[in-house]
Amino acid sequence: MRREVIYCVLSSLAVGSVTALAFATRYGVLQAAPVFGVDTLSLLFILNICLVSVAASVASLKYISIYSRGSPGAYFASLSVFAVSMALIPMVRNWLYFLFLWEVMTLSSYVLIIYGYGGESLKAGRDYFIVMHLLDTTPLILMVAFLKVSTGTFAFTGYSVLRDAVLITALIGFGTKAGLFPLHFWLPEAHPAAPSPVSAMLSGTMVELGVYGLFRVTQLSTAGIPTYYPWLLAALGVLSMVSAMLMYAVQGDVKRLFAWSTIDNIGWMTVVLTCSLLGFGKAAATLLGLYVLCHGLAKASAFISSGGMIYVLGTKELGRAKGMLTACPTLSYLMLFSMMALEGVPPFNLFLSRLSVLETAFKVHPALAVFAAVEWCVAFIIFLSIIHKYLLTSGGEGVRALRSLPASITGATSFLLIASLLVYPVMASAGVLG
Amino acid sequence: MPAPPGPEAVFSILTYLSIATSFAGGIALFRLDGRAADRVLAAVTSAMVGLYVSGFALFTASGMRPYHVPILTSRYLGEVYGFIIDPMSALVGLVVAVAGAAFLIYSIDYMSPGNRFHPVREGKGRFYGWMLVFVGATLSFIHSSTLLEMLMFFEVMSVACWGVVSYYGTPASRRSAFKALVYTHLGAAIGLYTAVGLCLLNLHTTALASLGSLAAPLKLYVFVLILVAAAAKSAQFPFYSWLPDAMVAPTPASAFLHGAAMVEMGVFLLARYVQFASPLPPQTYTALLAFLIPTTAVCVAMYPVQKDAKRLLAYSTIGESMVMYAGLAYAVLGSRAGLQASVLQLFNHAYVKGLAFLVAGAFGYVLGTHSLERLKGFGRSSPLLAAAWGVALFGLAGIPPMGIFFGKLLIVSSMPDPAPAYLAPALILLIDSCVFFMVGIKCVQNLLRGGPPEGLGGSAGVPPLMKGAIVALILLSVLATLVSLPLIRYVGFAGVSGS
Repeated sequence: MRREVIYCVLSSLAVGSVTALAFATRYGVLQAAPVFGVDTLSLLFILNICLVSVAASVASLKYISIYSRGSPGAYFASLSVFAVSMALIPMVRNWLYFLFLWEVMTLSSYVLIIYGYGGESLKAGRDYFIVMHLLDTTPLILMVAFLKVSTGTFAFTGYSVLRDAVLITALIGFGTKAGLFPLHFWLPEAHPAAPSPVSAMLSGTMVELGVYGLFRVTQLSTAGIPTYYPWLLAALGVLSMVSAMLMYAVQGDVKRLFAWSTIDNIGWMTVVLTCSLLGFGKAAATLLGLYVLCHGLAKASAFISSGGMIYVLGTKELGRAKGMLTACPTLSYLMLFSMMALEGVPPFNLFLSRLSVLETAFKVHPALAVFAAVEWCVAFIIFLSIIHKYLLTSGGEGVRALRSLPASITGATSFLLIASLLVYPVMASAGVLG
Repeated sequence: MPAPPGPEAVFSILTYLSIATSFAGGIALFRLDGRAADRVLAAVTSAMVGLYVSGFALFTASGMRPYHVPILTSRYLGEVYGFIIDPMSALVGLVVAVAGAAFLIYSIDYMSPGNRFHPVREGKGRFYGWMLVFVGATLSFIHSSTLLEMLMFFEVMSVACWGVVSYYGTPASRRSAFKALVYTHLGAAIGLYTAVGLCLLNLHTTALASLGSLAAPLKLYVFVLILVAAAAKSAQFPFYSWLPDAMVAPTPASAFLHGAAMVEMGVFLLARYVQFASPLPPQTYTALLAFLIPTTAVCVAMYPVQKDAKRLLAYSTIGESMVMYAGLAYAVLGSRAGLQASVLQLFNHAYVKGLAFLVAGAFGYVLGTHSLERLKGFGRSSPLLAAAWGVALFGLAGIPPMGIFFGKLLIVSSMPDPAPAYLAPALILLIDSCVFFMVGIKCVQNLLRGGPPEGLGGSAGVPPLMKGAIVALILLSVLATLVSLPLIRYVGFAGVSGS
């Protein structure tokens, strides 16, 4: 156990120092090399990655002991590489570095998904990596090549030649990573197979980088954006939300449920992207960063508490966890609050982000805002019924706790929940909200 | 009083000494055996690589200015022998020397009675001898300054290849060695001899530096002829079948054939021509694609059906050298970045491919088989080999941090113009990589599936020098980029100053 604590401290230090560098660069303490650059959007993404990664690392301490195979050293090493590569991605301003880090991120996430390599996780890991290589890496390689041909450099610069080719390859590549409909299918398969803290990072931080990439590429076009493009994005976002809404009700596996919720939220972020392309560029950047941060914290706490459920009750089936309230009340409340945070119930800050999204979307097209609002309500009702059906029923079939809930999981989840109460107050006092 | 020798003289002499050491050591080793052969090999290899690397370091430190000395000139043949050191030859030579040394050191433990795939009790010296001659011939080829000299060492390489492939002396290995010799010699006879003849008739010399003055239609003909020779050497369609058959060679020799010499020298030959004869007529692009597209089709069809680890790697070599040619396809259109990317891919590929072979060799050593199916669960008893196998196969598919990622990305990004016709090399490259990736991930995961095979010692059964070489190559396959990426910008068209 002492070894795991050292690994955890080291991995937190690694991602923490990248975050410190980002802050130092943003506030002029450090002069960054030309390949690096940090703006508010980058900073919000990096902050999200840092908080979620540290929480995931802490939550792993006891959790990974349920895997009899695999070595904790390899786990924490991959976790650190995963976290650091993600934290560097929003900082780089060069497509060669960007793609390199992007691929290191994919490789390390694959290693983490197959950690423990039971039959199920090997298959899920393989499918994940193949989908990523074919639909994410390959289009992005083409996108970077087009950008290089168009601008003559790998640096982030405005492009106009080959604009449509760049935008389409970016949509496929980044859309796959983000889990945007119809390229979302890998997400509900990969998440249940991964160790829960890793699922937290996949959903809370990694997929959002897809949205980040798409935002950057679209903003760099100097020849404008074809008129169909924002509406194509909006349509895909809406379809993501619709498919999530339809799938929520039939999920028995709590991690699949949360994975679908990620697809839902990617739909919301895509709506923000649409707004960013229709005249709300600057406001949308901050909004996107805040949404990602609020969602990331809530989503990570949801996945880590579902890890608590696996650890304590030995199941991820909601149906078999009835009676959690008597077996392990703390866990039951942690999951309850996580779901509330995830559905944007005040005072959790996702509420404020969603409100701003609705406000901005209303200016772009009222129907978009109305749809999102309806979707929000429906999803909330479904989650409320799940909470009542599984989390707040006592007794039931007499489920018993196999192990007691470790303090590391309780601590990590509480930390994330408290953080998701403080995003807007802290950002407002730092002047980010403008 | 004579002036003190400039850095040119020093790095040329170091490079020469390195070549001479490998030839002399190779010839001496034919007569040795057992521990004596091991000791001499270790000494000769260290001297060879030490001399080459110090020559390279000096060359880099003095600014990588190309340097050319004619050594033998005749009235009828023009320049016959000469020596060139320029960024391209130095980088490729460095790969041959360093990777070659790693494979040679590995072979000390591999060629032993403890090898369950093919125990070797006597005659090690003969193997070492052929290998060192191979290294020497390859380095000489790389630093040649004329087509005629390249042709001569091209043939010496083919003979050395015959020597290592036929080493075990079984009927299968004799047949494969003969096939390899016939195919490559046939390619040389059709292509390189004719090209040399054409150059002599028209230029009265075969000096690389004078290739630029060929008339435009001749440039195309000579290009196609050299392409034929190069395709035979690199096992491109339709000459590809000798390479999978040559897998009967001892694994360190396969690693060298595939990773650093032979196959890559086909690419180097064509790259040299492109470098010196540029600008080339646009038909050369079409001619090159006519070889590359069927080669890709063969690879994509063959990857999924391979049952043997070494044969899978053989097809991967065909695919990866196709990728290097894809870079040259952009280079013939005038893209300097394409030429650079092709050399970068050659440089970075060597270590990853070498690693893949050394791991396959270790499987053979411990398990007595290269069958992919029999490797099931082997990762449980040997995490080192499982990790190395993952690094190698993912690396070959182009996943970073392994170096091939940069090679492939730079090749795809070196498209000279945004024209749809120029997408073809990029697309075949990506298709090849994707299919190889899908096969590769299956092979890697196979190692993690189920329990360990019965009655095995695991990685404890792998001798120390083999383990050391594997660890060194894991590091090199990641770190090679740090050398190649900054230095590659020196590579350019016809950069050699006249004597």
